[in-house]
Amino acid sequence: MSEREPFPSIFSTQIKPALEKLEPQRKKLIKRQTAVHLWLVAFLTCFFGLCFIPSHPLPLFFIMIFCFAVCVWNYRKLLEAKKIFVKQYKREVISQIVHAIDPSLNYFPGNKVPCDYYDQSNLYPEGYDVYIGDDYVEGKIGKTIVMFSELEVLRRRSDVENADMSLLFKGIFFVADFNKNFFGQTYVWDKSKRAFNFLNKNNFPFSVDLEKILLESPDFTDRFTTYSNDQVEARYILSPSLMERMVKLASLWDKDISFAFVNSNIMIAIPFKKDLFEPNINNILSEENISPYYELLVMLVDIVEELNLNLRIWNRS
Amino acid sequence: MWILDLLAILIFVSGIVFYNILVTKKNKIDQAYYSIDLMLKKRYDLVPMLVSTVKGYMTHERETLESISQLRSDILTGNLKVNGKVAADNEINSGISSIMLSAEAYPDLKASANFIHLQGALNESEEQLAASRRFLNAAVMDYHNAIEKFPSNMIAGIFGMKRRNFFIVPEKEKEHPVLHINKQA
Repeated sequence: MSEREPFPSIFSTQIKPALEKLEPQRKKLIKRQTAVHLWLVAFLTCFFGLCFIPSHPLPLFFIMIFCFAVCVWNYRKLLEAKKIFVKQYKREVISQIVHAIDPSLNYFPGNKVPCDYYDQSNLYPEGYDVYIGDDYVEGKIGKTIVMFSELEVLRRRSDVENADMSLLFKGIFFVADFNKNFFGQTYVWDKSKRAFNFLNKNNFPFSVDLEKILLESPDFTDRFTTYSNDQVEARYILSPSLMERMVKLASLWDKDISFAFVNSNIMIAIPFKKDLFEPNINNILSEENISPYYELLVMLVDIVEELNLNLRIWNRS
Repeated sequence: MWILDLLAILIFVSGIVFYNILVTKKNKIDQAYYSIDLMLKKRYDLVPMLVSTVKGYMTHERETLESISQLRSDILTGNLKVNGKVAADNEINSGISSIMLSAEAYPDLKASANFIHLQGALNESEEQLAASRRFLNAAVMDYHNAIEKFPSNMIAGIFGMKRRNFFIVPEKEKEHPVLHINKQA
Protein backbone atom coordinates (compact mmCIF):
# COMPACT_ATOMS: atom_id res chain seq x y z
CA MET A 1 0.00 0.00 0.00
CA SER A 2 1.37 3.41 -0.92
CA GLU A 3 2.06 5.83 1.90
CA ARG A 4 -1.03 7.92 2.66
CA GLU A 5 -0.77 11.70 2.86
CA PRO A 6 -1.28 12.89 6.47
CA PHE A 7 -4.64 14.47 7.21
CA PRO A 8 -3.36 17.98 8.13
CA SER A 9 -1.79 18.30 4.68
CA ILE A 10 -4.94 16.96 2.93
CA PHE A 11 -6.99 19.38 4.99
CA SER A 12 -4.94 22.45 4.14
CA THR A 13 -4.62 21.71 0.42
CA GLN A 14 -7.94 20.11 -0.53
CA ILE A 15 -10.57 20.49 2.15
CA LYS A 16 -9.95 23.95 3.60
CA PRO A 17 -10.81 25.85 0.38
CA ALA A 18 -14.14 23.97 0.17
CA LEU A 19 -14.87 24.65 3.84
CA GLU A 20 -14.15 28.36 3.38
CA LYS A 21 -16.93 28.44 0.78
CA LEU A 22 -19.29 26.55 3.10
CA GLU A 23 -18.60 28.47 6.31
CA PRO A 24 -20.74 31.58 5.36
CA GLN A 25 -23.58 29.19 4.52
CA ARG A 26 -23.24 27.48 7.89
CA LYS A 27 -23.30 30.88 9.64
CA LYS A 28 -26.49 31.77 7.77
CA LEU A 29 -28.00 28.49 8.95
CA ILE A 30 -27.07 29.28 12.55
CA LYS A 31 -28.76 32.69 12.17
CA ARG A 32 -31.87 31.05 10.75
CA GLN A 33 -31.83 28.53 13.61
CA THR A 34 -31.55 31.34 16.16
CA ALA A 35 -34.47 33.10 14.46
CA VAL A 36 -36.58 29.94 14.77
CA HIS A 37 -35.74 29.73 18.48
CA LEU A 38 -36.54 33.40 19.09
CA TRP A 39 -39.89 33.25 17.28
CA LEU A 40 -40.71 30.10 19.21
CA VAL A 41 -39.95 31.86 22.50
CA ALA A 42 -42.12 34.82 21.37
CA PHE A 43 -44.96 32.43 20.50
CA LEU A 44 -44.74 30.66 23.85
CA THR A 45 -44.62 33.98 25.74
CA CYS A 46 -47.85 35.07 23.98
CA PHE A 47 -49.42 31.68 24.63
CA PHE A 48 -48.71 31.75 28.37
CA GLY A 49 -49.68 35.45 28.46
CA LEU A 50 -53.09 34.54 27.06
CA CYS A 51 -53.41 31.73 29.57
CA PHE A 52 -52.57 33.90 32.59
CA ILE A 53 -54.22 37.23 31.65
CA PRO A 54 -57.88 36.81 32.62
CA SER A 55 -59.20 39.26 29.97
CA HIS A 56 -57.50 37.25 27.09
CA PRO A 57 -56.70 40.39 24.98
CA LEU A 58 -57.49 39.81 21.29
CA PRO A 59 -54.35 41.69 19.95
CA LEU A 60 -52.16 39.29 21.95
CA PHE A 61 -53.93 36.40 20.28
CA PHE A 62 -53.15 37.82 16.82
CA ILE A 63 -49.54 38.43 17.82
CA MET A 64 -49.31 34.81 18.97
CA ILE A 65 -50.68 33.58 15.62
CA PHE A 66 -48.22 35.84 13.81
CA CYS A 67 -45.28 34.54 15.89
CA PHE A 68 -46.32 30.97 15.22
CA ALA A 69 -46.61 31.54 11.46
CA VAL A 70 -43.21 33.26 11.25
CA CYS A 71 -41.66 30.48 13.36
CA VAL A 72 -43.04 27.77 11.06
CA TRP A 73 -41.97 29.70 7.94
CA ASN A 74 -38.44 30.13 9.33
CA TYR A 75 -38.30 26.46 10.33
CA ARG A 76 -39.24 25.33 6.82
CA LYS A 77 -36.65 27.68 5.34
CA LEU A 78 -34.10 26.28 7.80
CA LEU A 79 -34.85 22.69 6.71
CA GLU A 80 -34.56 23.62 3.02
CA ALA A 81 -31.28 25.46 3.56
CA LYS A 82 -29.93 22.66 5.72
CA LYS A 83 -30.71 20.13 3.00
CA ILE A 84 -28.81 22.20 0.42
CA PHE A 85 -25.93 22.68 2.88
CA VAL A 86 -25.64 18.95 3.64
CA LYS A 87 -25.73 18.12 -0.06
CA GLN A 88 -23.02 20.65 -0.83
CA TYR A 89 -20.98 19.58 2.19
CA LYS A 90 -20.99 15.95 1.07
CA ARG A 91 -20.19 16.89 -2.52
CA GLU A 92 -17.37 19.27 -1.59
CA VAL A 93 -15.92 17.80 1.62
CA ILE A 94 -16.67 14.05 1.96
CA SER A 95 -16.01 13.52 -1.73
CA GLN A 96 -12.61 15.24 -1.39
CA ILE A 97 -11.75 13.11 1.65
CA VAL A 98 -12.67 9.89 -0.21
CA HIS A 99 -10.50 10.88 -3.19
CA ALA A 100 -7.63 11.88 -0.93
CA ILE A 101 -7.69 8.46 0.76
CA ASP A 102 -7.72 6.56 -2.53
CA PRO A 103 -8.14 8.28 -5.91
CA SER A 104 -9.68 5.14 -7.42
CA LEU A 105 -12.68 5.38 -5.09
CA ASN A 106 -15.91 7.10 -6.15
CA TYR A 107 -18.39 8.66 -3.77
CA PHE A 108 -22.14 8.95 -4.42
CA PRO A 109 -23.87 10.74 -1.52
CA GLY A 110 -27.40 9.68 -2.48
CA ASN A 111 -26.75 6.03 -3.35
CA LYS A 112 -26.51 2.91 -1.23
CA VAL A 113 -25.28 -0.69 -1.48
CA PRO A 114 -27.83 -2.51 -3.70
CA CYS A 115 -30.31 -4.49 -1.64
CA ASP A 116 -29.32 -7.69 -3.52
CA TYR A 117 -26.07 -7.80 -1.55
CA TYR A 118 -27.87 -7.21 1.73
CA ASP A 119 -30.34 -10.00 0.87
CA GLN A 120 -27.58 -12.39 -0.18
CA SER A 121 -25.65 -11.78 3.02
CA ASN A 122 -28.48 -13.22 5.17
CA LEU A 123 -26.89 -11.47 8.15
CA TYR A 124 -30.29 -10.02 9.07
CA PRO A 125 -32.64 -12.58 7.54
CA GLU A 126 -35.79 -11.35 9.24
CA GLY A 127 -37.24 -9.68 6.12
CA TYR A 128 -37.72 -5.93 5.85
CA ASP A 129 -40.20 -3.29 4.68
CA VAL A 130 -37.91 -0.27 4.37
CA TYR A 131 -34.39 -0.28 2.94
CA ILE A 132 -32.75 3.14 2.89
CA GLY A 133 -29.21 4.37 2.85
CA ASP A 134 -26.75 6.95 1.59
CA ASP A 135 -23.05 7.81 1.37
CA TYR A 136 -22.12 5.08 -1.08
CA VAL A 137 -18.45 4.52 -1.88
CA GLU A 138 -17.24 2.12 -4.55
CA GLY A 139 -14.00 1.39 -6.34
CA LYS A 140 -10.96 -0.83 -6.44
CA ILE A 141 -8.45 -0.85 -3.61
CA GLY A 142 -5.37 -2.55 -4.99
CA LYS A 143 -6.80 -5.71 -6.57
CA THR A 144 -9.99 -5.76 -4.53
CA ILE A 145 -13.33 -4.35 -5.66
CA VAL A 146 -15.15 -2.79 -2.71
CA MET A 147 -18.39 -0.98 -2.01
CA PHE A 148 -19.89 0.30 1.20
CA SER A 149 -22.57 2.68 2.40
CA GLU A 150 -24.66 3.59 5.36
CA LEU A 151 -27.85 1.55 5.61
CA GLU A 152 -30.99 1.71 7.66
CA VAL A 153 -33.24 -1.32 7.39
CA LEU A 154 -36.64 -1.36 9.08
CA ARG A 155 -39.45 -3.79 9.51
CA ARG A 156 -43.10 -3.16 10.29
CA ARG A 157 -44.01 -4.83 13.53
CA SER A 158 -46.56 -7.53 12.80
CA ASP A 159 -47.73 -7.94 16.39
CA VAL A 160 -49.18 -4.42 16.76
CA GLU A 161 -51.50 -2.78 14.24
CA ASN A 162 -50.37 0.66 12.97
CA ALA A 163 -47.23 0.28 15.02
CA ASP A 164 -43.92 2.02 14.37
CA MET A 165 -41.19 0.36 12.41
CA SER A 166 -38.65 -1.70 14.28
CA LEU A 167 -35.00 -1.26 13.38
CA LEU A 168 -33.25 -4.34 11.97
CA PHE A 169 -29.92 -2.82 11.04
CA LYS A 170 -28.37 0.62 11.07
CA GLY A 171 -24.74 1.17 10.25
CA ILE A 172 -22.16 0.51 7.60
CA PHE A 173 -22.59 -2.35 5.15
CA PHE A 174 -19.30 -3.29 3.46
CA VAL A 175 -18.92 -5.61 0.45
CA ALA A 176 -15.64 -6.73 -1.15
CA ASP A 177 -14.74 -9.46 -3.57
CA PHE A 178 -12.88 -12.15 -1.67
CA ASN A 179 -9.46 -13.41 -2.71
CA LYS A 180 -10.58 -17.05 -2.95
CA ASN A 181 -13.32 -18.73 -4.95
CA PHE A 182 -16.08 -20.46 -3.02
CA PHE A 183 -19.58 -21.72 -3.70
CA GLY A 184 -21.15 -22.31 -0.29
CA GLN A 185 -22.30 -19.97 2.43
CA THR A 186 -20.41 -19.21 5.61
CA TYR A 187 -21.59 -16.84 8.33
CA VAL A 188 -19.60 -15.45 11.22
CA TRP A 189 -21.69 -13.72 13.88
CA ASP A 190 -20.53 -11.83 16.87
CA LYS A 191 -21.43 -14.05 19.83
CA SER A 192 -23.04 -11.30 21.87
CA LYS A 193 -25.44 -10.46 19.05
CA ARG A 194 -26.73 -13.88 18.10
CA ALA A 195 -26.20 -16.00 21.18
CA PHE A 196 -29.62 -15.47 22.65
CA ASN A 197 -31.94 -15.14 19.68
CA PHE A 198 -30.33 -17.73 17.47
CA LEU A 199 -32.89 -20.39 18.23
CA ASN A 200 -35.68 -18.13 17.05
CA LYS A 201 -36.56 -19.53 13.62
CA ASN A 202 -37.59 -16.10 12.34
CA ASN A 203 -34.06 -14.90 12.91
CA PHE A 204 -32.32 -17.50 10.89
CA PRO A 205 -32.50 -18.93 7.37
CA PHE A 206 -33.27 -22.51 8.26
CA SER A 207 -33.99 -23.28 4.61
CA VAL A 208 -30.21 -23.35 4.23
CA ASP A 209 -28.58 -26.49 5.55
CA LEU A 210 -26.15 -24.89 7.98
CA GLU A 211 -23.90 -26.56 10.52
CA LYS A 212 -21.98 -25.04 13.38
CA ILE A 213 -18.26 -24.97 12.57
CA LEU A 214 -15.80 -25.77 15.35
CA LEU A 215 -12.66 -23.78 14.70
CA GLU A 216 -9.26 -24.02 16.34
CA SER A 217 -8.52 -20.41 17.27
CA PRO A 218 -9.64 -19.77 20.89
CA ASP A 219 -9.64 -15.97 20.41
CA PHE A 220 -11.87 -16.35 17.37
CA THR A 221 -14.33 -18.78 18.95
CA ASP A 222 -14.54 -16.61 22.08
CA ARG A 223 -15.72 -13.71 19.95
CA PHE A 224 -17.58 -15.28 17.02
CA THR A 225 -19.97 -18.11 16.18
CA THR A 226 -19.52 -19.67 12.74
CA TYR A 227 -22.11 -21.50 10.65
CA SER A 228 -21.66 -22.89 7.16
CA ASN A 229 -23.14 -25.38 4.71
CA ASP A 230 -19.68 -26.75 3.88
CA GLN A 231 -17.26 -27.78 6.64
CA VAL A 232 -14.20 -27.87 4.36
CA GLU A 233 -14.98 -24.66 2.49
CA ALA A 234 -15.57 -22.77 5.75
CA ARG A 235 -12.06 -23.73 6.83
CA TYR A 236 -10.70 -22.91 3.38
CA ILE A 237 -12.12 -19.39 3.75
CA LEU A 238 -11.33 -19.00 7.44
CA SER A 239 -7.62 -19.70 7.36
CA PRO A 240 -5.79 -19.26 10.69
CA SER A 241 -4.35 -15.94 9.52
CA LEU A 242 -7.76 -14.60 8.42
CA MET A 243 -9.31 -15.59 11.77
CA GLU A 244 -6.58 -13.68 13.57
CA ARG A 245 -7.16 -10.65 11.34
CA MET A 246 -10.93 -10.77 11.88
CA VAL A 247 -10.47 -10.75 15.66
CA LYS A 248 -8.09 -7.80 15.32
CA LEU A 249 -10.58 -5.97 13.08
CA ALA A 250 -13.44 -6.53 15.54
CA SER A 251 -11.30 -5.22 18.43
CA LEU A 252 -10.26 -2.21 16.35
CA TRP A 253 -13.87 -1.24 15.60
CA ASP A 254 -15.12 -2.30 19.02
CA LYS A 255 -18.52 -3.19 17.52
CA ASP A 256 -20.59 -6.36 17.13
CA ILE A 257 -19.37 -7.04 13.62
CA SER A 258 -20.89 -9.85 11.54
CA PHE A 259 -19.38 -11.37 8.39
CA ALA A 260 -20.98 -13.29 5.53
CA PHE A 261 -19.03 -15.15 2.87
CA VAL A 262 -21.39 -15.70 -0.06
CA ASN A 263 -20.84 -15.85 -3.86
CA SER A 264 -17.09 -15.31 -3.48
CA ASN A 265 -17.79 -11.99 -1.70
CA ILE A 266 -17.16 -10.96 1.85
CA MET A 267 -19.91 -8.82 3.39
CA ILE A 268 -19.47 -7.07 6.70
CA ALA A 269 -22.18 -5.42 8.79
CA ILE A 270 -20.90 -2.84 11.29
CA PRO A 271 -23.71 -1.44 13.41
CA PHE A 272 -23.78 2.26 14.38
CA LYS A 273 -26.44 4.18 16.25
CA LYS A 274 -25.98 7.58 14.54
CA ASP A 275 -25.70 8.94 11.00
CA LEU A 276 -22.01 8.98 10.25
CA PHE A 277 -21.38 11.45 7.46
CA GLU A 278 -23.92 14.20 8.32
CA PRO A 279 -22.36 17.56 9.32
CA ASN A 280 -23.33 19.19 12.59
CA ILE A 281 -24.16 22.79 11.71
CA ASN A 282 -23.47 23.93 15.26
CA ASN A 283 -19.83 22.90 14.98
CA ILE A 284 -17.38 25.18 13.27
CA LEU A 285 -15.97 23.60 10.09
CA SER A 286 -12.45 23.11 11.41
CA GLU A 287 -9.74 20.47 10.96
CA GLU A 288 -10.57 19.08 14.39
CA ASN A 289 -14.24 18.56 13.50
CA ILE A 290 -13.59 17.13 10.04
CA SER A 291 -10.90 14.61 11.03
CA PRO A 292 -13.39 12.04 12.52
CA TYR A 293 -14.94 11.64 9.03
CA TYR A 294 -11.48 11.07 7.59
CA GLU A 295 -10.58 8.54 10.29
CA LEU A 296 -13.82 6.62 9.77
CA LEU A 297 -13.31 6.42 6.02
CA VAL A 298 -9.69 5.36 6.46
CA MET A 299 -10.80 2.57 8.82
CA LEU A 300 -13.32 1.37 6.22
CA VAL A 301 -10.85 1.45 3.35
CA ASP A 302 -8.22 -0.25 5.51
CA ILE A 303 -10.49 -3.29 6.03
CA VAL A 304 -9.01 -4.55 2.74
CA GLU A 305 -5.48 -4.32 4.16
CA GLU A 306 -6.50 -5.58 7.60
CA LEU A 307 -8.01 -8.74 6.09
CA ASN A 308 -5.22 -9.00 3.49
CA LEU A 309 -7.75 -9.21 0.65
CA ASN A 310 -5.18 -7.99 -1.88
CA LEU A 311 -3.19 -11.18 -1.47
CA ARG A 312 -4.18 -12.87 -4.73
CA ILE A 313 -2.05 -16.00 -4.78
CA TRP A 314 -5.07 -18.20 -5.48
CA ASN A 315 -6.81 -18.42 -8.83
CA ARG A 316 -8.82 -15.26 -8.40
CA SER A 317 -7.18 -12.21 -9.88
CA MET B 1 -43.12 -51.40 39.37
CA TRP B 2 -44.12 -49.00 36.58
CA ILE B 3 -41.31 -46.66 37.71
CA LEU B 4 -38.78 -49.39 36.93
CA ASP B 5 -40.42 -49.94 33.50
CA LEU B 6 -40.28 -46.22 32.81
CA LEU B 7 -36.63 -46.10 33.89
CA ALA B 8 -35.78 -49.03 31.60
CA ILE B 9 -37.52 -47.36 28.64
CA LEU B 10 -35.71 -44.08 29.42
CA ILE B 11 -32.32 -45.82 29.54
CA PHE B 12 -33.06 -47.67 26.28
CA VAL B 13 -34.15 -44.49 24.45
CA SER B 14 -31.14 -42.55 25.79
CA GLY B 15 -28.92 -45.40 24.63
CA ILE B 16 -30.33 -45.13 21.09
CA VAL B 17 -29.91 -41.35 21.09
CA PHE B 18 -26.29 -41.49 22.31
CA TYR B 19 -25.48 -44.30 19.89
CA ASN B 20 -26.83 -42.26 16.96
CA ILE B 21 -24.84 -39.21 18.06
CA LEU B 22 -21.66 -41.29 18.22
CA VAL B 23 -22.30 -42.82 14.79
CA THR B 24 -22.88 -39.35 13.30
CA LYS B 25 -19.58 -38.14 14.74
CA LYS B 26 -17.77 -41.25 13.52
CA ASN B 27 -19.20 -40.78 10.03
CA LYS B 28 -18.05 -37.18 10.05
CA ILE B 29 -14.47 -38.46 10.41
CA ASP B 30 -14.99 -40.69 7.36
CA GLN B 31 -16.42 -37.71 5.50
CA ALA B 32 -13.28 -35.74 6.41
CA TYR B 33 -11.06 -38.57 5.09
CA TYR B 34 -13.02 -38.60 1.84
CA SER B 35 -12.62 -34.85 1.50
CA ILE B 36 -8.84 -35.22 2.00
CA ASP B 37 -8.76 -37.89 -0.72
CA LEU B 38 -10.75 -35.61 -3.00
CA MET B 39 -8.40 -32.70 -2.42
CA LEU B 40 -5.37 -34.92 -3.01
CA LYS B 41 -6.94 -36.11 -6.27
CA LYS B 42 -7.43 -32.48 -7.29
CA ARG B 43 -3.78 -31.84 -6.50
CA TYR B 44 -2.61 -34.86 -8.48
CA ASP B 45 -4.68 -33.69 -11.46
CA LEU B 46 -2.44 -30.64 -11.58
CA VAL B 47 0.70 -32.76 -12.05
CA PRO B 48 0.36 -33.31 -15.85
CA MET B 49 -0.30 -29.58 -16.27
CA LEU B 50 2.73 -28.77 -14.13
CA VAL B 51 4.94 -31.13 -16.08
CA SER B 52 3.83 -29.85 -19.49
CA THR B 53 4.24 -26.21 -18.37
CA VAL B 54 7.72 -26.49 -16.91
CA LYS B 55 9.41 -29.20 -18.97
CA GLY B 56 10.32 -26.81 -21.79
CA TYR B 57 12.16 -24.55 -19.33
CA MET B 58 13.56 -26.89 -16.68
CA THR B 59 16.32 -28.96 -18.12
CA HIS B 60 18.00 -29.87 -14.84
CA GLU B 61 14.85 -31.14 -13.12
CA ARG B 62 13.81 -33.71 -15.75
CA GLU B 63 14.32 -36.56 -13.28
CA THR B 64 12.00 -34.99 -10.66
CA LEU B 65 9.34 -34.36 -13.30
CA GLU B 66 9.43 -37.96 -14.51
CA SER B 67 9.33 -39.26 -10.95
CA ILE B 68 6.24 -37.26 -9.92
CA SER B 69 4.44 -38.24 -13.15
CA GLN B 70 5.16 -41.90 -12.37
CA LEU B 71 4.02 -41.52 -8.73
CA ARG B 72 0.80 -39.88 -9.84
CA SER B 73 -0.07 -42.67 -12.23
CA ASP B 74 0.77 -45.27 -9.55
CA ILE B 75 -1.52 -43.56 -7.05
CA LEU B 76 -4.38 -43.18 -9.50
CA THR B 77 -4.18 -46.78 -10.73
CA GLY B 78 -4.19 -47.96 -7.11
CA ASN B 79 -1.02 -50.00 -7.47
CA LEU B 80 0.25 -48.91 -4.07
CA LYS B 81 -0.38 -50.38 -0.61
CA VAL B 82 -1.64 -48.05 2.16
CA ASN B 83 1.84 -47.26 3.51
CA GLY B 84 3.09 -46.89 -0.01
CA LYS B 85 0.30 -44.42 -0.75
CA VAL B 86 1.20 -42.19 2.20
CA ALA B 87 4.87 -42.25 1.17
CA ALA B 88 3.90 -41.52 -2.46
CA ASP B 89 1.70 -38.60 -1.28
CA ASN B 90 4.63 -37.13 0.61
CA GLU B 91 6.99 -37.76 -2.28
CA ILE B 92 4.69 -36.12 -4.81
CA ASN B 93 4.15 -33.11 -2.55
CA SER B 94 7.84 -32.61 -1.98
CA GLY B 95 8.44 -33.04 -5.74
CA ILE B 96 5.87 -30.31 -6.53
CA SER B 97 7.37 -28.01 -3.86
CA SER B 98 10.87 -28.54 -5.17
CA ILE B 99 9.79 -27.76 -8.76
CA MET B 100 8.00 -24.61 -7.61
CA LEU B 101 11.10 -23.50 -5.69
CA SER B 102 13.39 -24.27 -8.63
CA ALA B 103 11.18 -22.12 -10.86
CA GLU B 104 12.69 -19.08 -9.12
CA ALA B 105 15.78 -19.62 -11.26
CA TYR B 106 13.81 -19.42 -14.56
CA PRO B 107 12.48 -15.86 -15.04
CA ASP B 108 10.81 -16.71 -18.38
CA LEU B 109 8.90 -19.55 -16.76
CA LYS B 110 7.89 -17.41 -13.77
CA ALA B 111 6.49 -14.77 -16.10
CA SER B 112 4.47 -17.16 -18.27
CA ALA B 113 0.69 -16.95 -17.94
CA ASN B 114 0.34 -20.73 -17.69
CA PHE B 115 2.79 -20.90 -14.80
CA ILE B 116 1.10 -18.04 -12.92
CA HIS B 117 -2.26 -19.80 -13.31
CA LEU B 118 -0.72 -23.08 -12.20
CA GLN B 119 0.85 -21.45 -9.17
CA GLY B 120 -2.59 -20.09 -8.22
CA ALA B 121 -4.20 -23.51 -8.70
CA LEU B 122 -1.51 -25.20 -6.59
CA ASN B 123 -1.84 -22.64 -3.80
CA GLU B 124 -5.61 -23.12 -3.93
CA SER B 125 -5.35 -26.91 -3.74
CA GLU B 126 -2.80 -26.63 -0.92
CA GLU B 127 -5.15 -24.39 1.08
CA GLN B 128 -8.12 -26.69 0.38
CA LEU B 129 -6.10 -29.69 1.48
CA ALA B 130 -5.13 -27.87 4.67
CA ALA B 131 -8.83 -27.05 5.23
CA SER B 132 -9.77 -30.73 4.82
CA ARG B 133 -7.10 -31.76 7.30
CA ARG B 134 -8.34 -29.15 9.77
CA PHE B 135 -11.86 -30.53 9.28
CA LEU B 136 -10.53 -34.04 10.00
CA ASN B 137 -8.84 -32.90 13.21
CA ALA B 138 -11.97 -31.04 14.35
CA ALA B 139 -14.12 -34.12 13.61
CA VAL B 140 -11.68 -36.42 15.44
CA MET B 141 -11.58 -34.10 18.46
CA ASP B 142 -15.38 -33.92 18.56
CA TYR B 143 -15.59 -37.72 18.35
CA HIS B 144 -12.98 -38.19 21.09
CA ASN B 145 -14.88 -35.82 23.36
CA ALA B 146 -18.02 -37.87 22.78
CA ILE B 147 -16.47 -41.30 23.39
CA GLU B 148 -14.73 -40.14 26.56
CA LYS B 149 -17.47 -38.10 28.20
CA PHE B 150 -20.09 -39.61 30.48
CA PRO B 151 -22.59 -41.17 29.69
CA SER B 152 -21.79 -41.58 25.97
CA ASN B 153 -18.49 -43.29 26.92
CA MET B 154 -20.55 -46.29 28.15
CA ILE B 155 -22.26 -46.67 24.75
CA ALA B 156 -18.88 -46.24 23.01
CA GLY B 157 -17.45 -48.97 25.26
CA ILE B 158 -20.33 -51.39 24.55
CA PHE B 159 -20.01 -50.94 20.77
CA GLY B 160 -16.20 -50.93 20.79
CA MET B 161 -15.79 -47.42 19.42
CA LYS B 162 -12.09 -46.59 19.60
CA ARG B 163 -10.01 -43.44 19.31
CA ARG B 164 -9.10 -42.39 15.75
CA ASN B 165 -5.93 -40.73 14.57
CA PHE B 166 -5.48 -36.99 14.18
CA PHE B 167 -3.74 -35.74 11.09
CA ILE B 168 -0.14 -35.02 12.08
CA VAL B 169 2.14 -33.02 9.82
CA PRO B 170 4.98 -35.29 8.63
CA GLU B 171 8.38 -34.37 10.13
CA LYS B 172 9.72 -33.67 6.64
CA GLU B 173 7.03 -31.02 6.00
CA LYS B 174 7.84 -29.28 9.31
CA GLU B 175 11.33 -28.46 8.06
CA HIS B 176 11.90 -25.03 6.55
CA PRO B 177 12.19 -25.28 2.77
CA VAL B 178 15.67 -24.60 1.46
CA LEU B 179 15.92 -22.95 -1.90
CA HIS B 180 18.57 -24.41 -4.21
CA ILE B 181 18.89 -22.24 -7.27
CA ASN B 182 20.30 -23.97 -10.32
CA LYS B 183 22.29 -21.58 -12.41
CA GLN B 184 21.21 -21.71 -16.02
CA ALA B 185 23.84 -22.82 -18.46
